[in-house]
Amino acid sequence: MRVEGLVYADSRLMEDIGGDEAIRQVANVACLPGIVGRSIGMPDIHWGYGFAIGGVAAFDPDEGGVVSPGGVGYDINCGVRLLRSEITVDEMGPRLKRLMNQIMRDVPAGVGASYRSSALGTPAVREVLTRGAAWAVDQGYGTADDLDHIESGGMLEAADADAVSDRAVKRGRPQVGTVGSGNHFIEIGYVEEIYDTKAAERLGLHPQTVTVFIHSGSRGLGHQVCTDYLDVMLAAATAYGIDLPDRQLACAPLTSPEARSYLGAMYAAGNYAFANRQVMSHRVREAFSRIFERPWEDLGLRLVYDVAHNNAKWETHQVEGRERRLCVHRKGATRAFPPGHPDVPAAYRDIGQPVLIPGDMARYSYVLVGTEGAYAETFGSTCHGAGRRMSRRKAKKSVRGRDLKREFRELGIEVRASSFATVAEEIPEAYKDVAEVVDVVDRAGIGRKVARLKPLGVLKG
Amino acid sequence: MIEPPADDATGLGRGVREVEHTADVGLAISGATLEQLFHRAALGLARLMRGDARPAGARGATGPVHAAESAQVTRSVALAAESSDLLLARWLGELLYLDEVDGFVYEGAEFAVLDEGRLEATVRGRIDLEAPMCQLKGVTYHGLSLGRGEEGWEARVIFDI
Repeated sequence: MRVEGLVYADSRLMEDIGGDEAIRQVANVACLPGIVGRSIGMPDIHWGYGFAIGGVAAFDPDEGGVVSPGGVGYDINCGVRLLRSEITVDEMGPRLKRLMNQIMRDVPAGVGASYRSSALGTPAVREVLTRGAAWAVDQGYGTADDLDHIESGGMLEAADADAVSDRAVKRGRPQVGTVGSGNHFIEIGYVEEIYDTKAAERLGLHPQTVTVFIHSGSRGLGHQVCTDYLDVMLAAATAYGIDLPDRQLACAPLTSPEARSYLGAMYAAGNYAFANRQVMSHRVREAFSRIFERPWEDLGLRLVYDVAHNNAKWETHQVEGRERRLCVHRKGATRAFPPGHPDVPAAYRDIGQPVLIPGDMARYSYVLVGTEGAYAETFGSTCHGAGRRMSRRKAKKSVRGRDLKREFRELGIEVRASSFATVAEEIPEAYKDVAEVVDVVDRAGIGRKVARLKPLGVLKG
Repeated sequence: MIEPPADDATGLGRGVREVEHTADVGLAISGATLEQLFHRAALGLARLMRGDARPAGARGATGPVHAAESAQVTRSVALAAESSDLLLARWLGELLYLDEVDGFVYEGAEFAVLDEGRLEATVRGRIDLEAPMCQLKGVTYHGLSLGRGEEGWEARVIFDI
């Protein structure tokens, strides 16, 4: 190991974390060339491939630092966005079922036959890759104000659409504005508790008002970019004499043409993810308008923020007493910049960057803000969710004989899914308690709690 | 490559079982020959994504049936890799791609060439435009292995889900 590994957890969470390969993966990352500071694991860490999910690491190009697709993942720039509203839980009341049905109709899961007919042409996809959420706004999906409330303004300028293969584009053509499957979702919830009144006020979160989470990424396009470049990086690692503890950590020096090409393609896929979430937001807003018979603007359905979980970004951080330009990999981790940082939107600069932490389907989710502590200790990063503690296989096994639909109904949660097999894999007990995860983050000072949200309805892909 | 339908506990096909992974899904595959292993792995992948599509009589149990009656189509696949395990990963990656873009669901293959670094095959399958039960994102190289074992050839592969 070239640097230390550090996992944020308490003794309770260590019971979940210690049982799989996650800690070994933190150690593997610590062996990569040019890593600086520490190889970090967030409290929602779990076994991934290459990096652990919940892994953060920064690399210095001047010290032979590398970029690795295994430190970003297949679902490039997967992320979550939160919309707030002026609608109260009481006003939502009986409309919830109709709203969920409407969203189910309007936002395709993005797999299967029904969505294929609306595929974009290749030139349009190339524009998505270059302009991200700005492309979507130009097409009438949302407003320019939305762009001010997205990480990186919803557009990664270093994107290189030409570095994305035709295969990736082909996979991406029919999937802009689709949820996908796995752990992706759209969740209607409400503000259950506020911990920081000033920050909550600034974010527009009021007690008992309705919120919407949208969790998705770059879909098949991003998956193909990762697949394509994994092979490029495997060859590069051999060519540059890099010894890999896990082939999924295939990488190339940040100064190499292979790295430049991957970064360009990865940022392009990131833009696709931003556009994807922007289009879905628009469709969700329209569904609200239809059910509440009022324009979404009148319902106050404003974008709070959009954060990304899987990327590698150029950022400036203090390491060993000096400012250095580093490539910070976050795989299943959220950027959490402190108050005053120029990359925090002007509207939030005095409170810090909003951090959105979805929990499981039934319990709760959290809104946090970034802190100086995160900037100093974790390259401005924090956790991204609850983190799995049970495999999908075990989860499916554990629900045999149970009536999941009834269980969720009794919890007061409307569930819609293309397949209930997905719901079985995503049952609440398959995840750590996100409250424990967030408490560790809050106590360690790498994020500060602002509000807790409670789900009312969940749509799974 | 044709194997008689066989009842198996996993529903993933003969010689294929799911291995434990916290967040993703892994398969352990065995085969008497490299061809058999590649075929079984492909079938396991298809069943993981699409469920067991064999005719009800052959399954011996109830289960999802996805357009099993649709006409069979073929695709040509040619791949190369530096080692046999990477070749297996690329083979499965190719089938994952064909499923996503065309709804092509693997049923069998005739391998014209299959050695430890090269594969040329005509693959047979059906077109199923319905949503897969389980959408996989990619074939990872994490923990990927292929080698000779007690039953001929043995492999392990983890998919990102």
